[in-house]
Amino acid sequence: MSGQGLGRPVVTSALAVGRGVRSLWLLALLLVVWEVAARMVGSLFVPPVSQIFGAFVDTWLSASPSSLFLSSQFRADVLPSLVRLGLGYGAATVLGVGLGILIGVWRPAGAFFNPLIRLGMSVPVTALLPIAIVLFGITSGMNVFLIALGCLWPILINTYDGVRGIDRTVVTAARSLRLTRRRYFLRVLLPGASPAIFAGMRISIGIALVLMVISELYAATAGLGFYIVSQQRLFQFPQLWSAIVLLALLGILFNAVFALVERVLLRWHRNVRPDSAESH
Amino acid sequence: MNTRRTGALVALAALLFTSACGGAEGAADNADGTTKVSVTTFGCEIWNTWAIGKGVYGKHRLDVELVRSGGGSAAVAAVLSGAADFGYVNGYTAINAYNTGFPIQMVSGVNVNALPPAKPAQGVFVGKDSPIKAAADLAGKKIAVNEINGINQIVTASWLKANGVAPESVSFVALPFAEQVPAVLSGRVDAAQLGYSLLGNNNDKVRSLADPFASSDKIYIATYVAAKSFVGKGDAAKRFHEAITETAQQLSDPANTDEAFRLLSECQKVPAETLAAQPQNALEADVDVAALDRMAQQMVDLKMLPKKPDLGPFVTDFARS
Repeated sequence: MSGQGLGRPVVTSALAVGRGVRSLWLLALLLVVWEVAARMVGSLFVPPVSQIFGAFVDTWLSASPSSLFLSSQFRADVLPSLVRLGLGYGAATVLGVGLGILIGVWRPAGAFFNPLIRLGMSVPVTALLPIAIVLFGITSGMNVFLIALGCLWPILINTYDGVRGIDRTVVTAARSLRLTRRRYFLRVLLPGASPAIFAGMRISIGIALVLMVISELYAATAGLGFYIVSQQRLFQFPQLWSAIVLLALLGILFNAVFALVERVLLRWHRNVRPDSAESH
Repeated sequence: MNTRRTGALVALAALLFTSACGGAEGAADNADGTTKVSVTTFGCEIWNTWAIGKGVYGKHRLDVELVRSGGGSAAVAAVLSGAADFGYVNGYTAINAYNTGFPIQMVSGVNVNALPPAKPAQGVFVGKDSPIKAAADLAGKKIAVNEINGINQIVTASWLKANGVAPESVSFVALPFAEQVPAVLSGRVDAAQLGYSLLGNNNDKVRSLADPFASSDKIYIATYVAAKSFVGKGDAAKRFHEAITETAQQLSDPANTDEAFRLLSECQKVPAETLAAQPQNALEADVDVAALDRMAQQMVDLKMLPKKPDLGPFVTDFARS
């Protein structure tokens, strides 16, 4: 009996490792193929993976615990980018969720704002870059504005859909219970719309990363996008690729953190639980 | 599922090989005995409009096709991938690419800075009423250049350094030339480094602190590079240099000035008189290796290169002065 108790976690861990290997073998094989191909061809534009990882360590990491093992280059170019991303994404979340709930609950507001929202969604945010420079100057405000604007629409629309999509039976039940507005908002509306709100926020993370880089390619004095352009001009392609690897890692990290938060906050929602999804 | 993954892997590997491979192909000979070559361009260069319009390239048995490129690094990529035979790059970009290990050679110079007593062709422009009066006032300020780590930034940084201003104390901002003067006038940047010819109708709204190009020794503002393999394959690169040399000589003849600007005007759609009134950089087809060496040293001083490369093998024998 006790032997069975000890064996179960081991089997579970082995299965988890097996799943990890199954999902990562293609990536590992691709990296090996990349390494061999790059060495055979000798292209300076596409250096071997080992050289890129070497540049990654040299450029972004340091041996100093006092700087959290992050290099001065990281502090100079990545931190400003992350601050812009955080501010833009945060502003978009606050505005998108607030406006989405407002137009979802109050039908006249929905009808009033609908054309404006459709127009805003149709304009590629990158096309507004020159306007943003004029409005905000060559400051981080320009980057924050573009990130916020790009992330706003998916969050707003998803919030609106989430609010409008709450089961009518639940709404009727809440009314029959004569819930106060506050209780209705906190116990019915927000939980009911939150899966859709989270979906919009998750889509927006990717958009925020893209806009962060694009807005820094032009008229910036620091940031990851600025660093990429700068290294391209200097023909420092391992360093340039290392910045791309860093962006990919940041994207994975943000998604992982988001998935974790989503799992904790929406644990009641069956569709976001992988085990329950598998059990269906 | 496995078949799909394997298919994806094969596709990715093929993509990687395709992007990593490529290479300079030899120039193709036409039936009329001319050699078809492609040359990168940023738009309308006076030597190209002249050499094409007056048949100088043809005289040297070259059938030139101009290929637009977005900048020096794109031009280097174009010659290495075989998309172009000759890449139009500034001397700093050429040195940088060579130092990185790209198999390229300089086959011709074409444009050098206008040194005194010639009229300044470039400037560091500030608003007419700006409190910035000299290089020293630019410490801690924002200066617009057309590209980060490009020739304009390097020359401006060297000029600042020569005037006692640490280039690191200045923020260089990349803005297209057309947006630089409006950015200065609206206060979004403190200064902009560009040519007088790019001021448009804003001549009387800005003033120049100095021409940073004139404060330096000879600088190769424009050169042509080709893949080493292309240079070794035939004499097309040598003929190209000879064509540029002859074009530069003809353009230096005052008797040809009006005609040169008329041809350029057709390309640029700007009145010939306007073009003629703008200060021009000097033309020099032969490459002075000592001048290139000094440019490399500037890059070392600005910490853009770890050490000065040996530029001897970089410049082809036929292009040397």
